[in-house]
Amino acid sequence: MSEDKPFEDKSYPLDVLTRLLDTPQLLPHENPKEFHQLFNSFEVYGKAQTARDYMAVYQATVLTWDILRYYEMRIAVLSSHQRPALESLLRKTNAAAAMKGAEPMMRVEADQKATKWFADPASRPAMMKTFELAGYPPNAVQAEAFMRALPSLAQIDRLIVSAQKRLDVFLKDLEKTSKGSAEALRLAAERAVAAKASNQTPDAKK
Amino acid sequence: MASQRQMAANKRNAAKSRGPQTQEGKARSRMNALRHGLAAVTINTTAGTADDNASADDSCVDAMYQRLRQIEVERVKALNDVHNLSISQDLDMLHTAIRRLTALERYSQRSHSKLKKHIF
Repeated sequence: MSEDKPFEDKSYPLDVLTRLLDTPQLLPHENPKEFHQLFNSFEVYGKAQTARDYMAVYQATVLTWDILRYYEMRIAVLSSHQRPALESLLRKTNAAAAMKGAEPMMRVEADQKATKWFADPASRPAMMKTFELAGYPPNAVQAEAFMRALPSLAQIDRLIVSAQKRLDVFLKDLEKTSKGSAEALRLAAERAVAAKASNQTPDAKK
Repeated sequence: MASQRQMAANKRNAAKSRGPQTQEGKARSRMNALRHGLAAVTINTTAGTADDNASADDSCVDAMYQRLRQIEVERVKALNDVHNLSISQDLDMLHTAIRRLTALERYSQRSHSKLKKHIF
C-alpha cells in the first residue's frame, strides 16, 4: 500500500510535485515526515492517479496542515500559560496572602513551588490538596490557565475557522470537476483534524 | 548638545512650519505613517498609464500578487515567532504575535477578494 511506502521510493507524475514534497514549506520546528504521512493518507483516500489528482491532494494537504498547525499553536499557548496560572494560584492560596508586604516573599515561594510541580509530579497531590482546601476545584490550574489564555485562544480559533474556510472553498471548487476525489479529500481532512482536536489538551501533548 | 534656549527656539521655529512644500518632500512625508503597507486600500503601481488600461490592469494584478507574497512571508515569520515565544513563555509578546497573525489573515483575505474581483 502506498501509505506504507517511504516518500523517497515513490515516483510522481510531475517533477514539480516531487520537488514540493522534497522541500515542503514548513516551519523550522515542524516535522517533514508528518507532512509526508498526511500527504500519503490523502493520496490513499483520494485515489490519486493523474497529475491533476496529485496536485489536488498536495493542495488539500497544505491547507489541512495549516489547520493542524493552528491546533498545535492552541496547545502550545495553553501550555505556556500553565506555569503563570499555577504561580498565581499558589500566591492566592498562600497563608501569608493577607499580610502586608508579603508579596515579594510569596513570589519567590510560588516560583520555587512551581519549579517543583513541573520537575516532580509526586509533589502535585499535596499542592492540589492545598488548592482544594482553599475552595478551588481539582482542575483549578487548567481552568486558571485557560482563563489567562482565553484572549489568545479566541484569536487562534478565528484563525482555525479561516483556515477551514480556505480548505472548504478549495474542496468546493474541486467538487465542480471531480466530486469523488473532493469528497474523499474532505473525509481525509476531517479525520486528520478530528484526530488533532481530540488530542489537544496540554497534558495529552506530553 | 543644544542649550535650553536653543531647544526652545527650535520648537518655536518648527511650530511655524507649513509642512513639506516640494513634491519630493510631500512624497517623502506621505510615507511617515506607513508601517508595512499590507493593509492599504489602494495599491500603487508604477507601470502603466491611464490610457493604457490593459497594462495598468496587469501591473495592478502583479502588485496584488506581490502583496500576497509579502503577507505570506510575514505570516511565516509570525508563526515562527509564536512558536518561539510560547517556548520562552513571554506571554505579552506571544499575545502580540498572535494578534499580528490575525491581522495578517485579515489583510490576506482582503487582498484575495480584491484579486478575485480584478481577475473575474
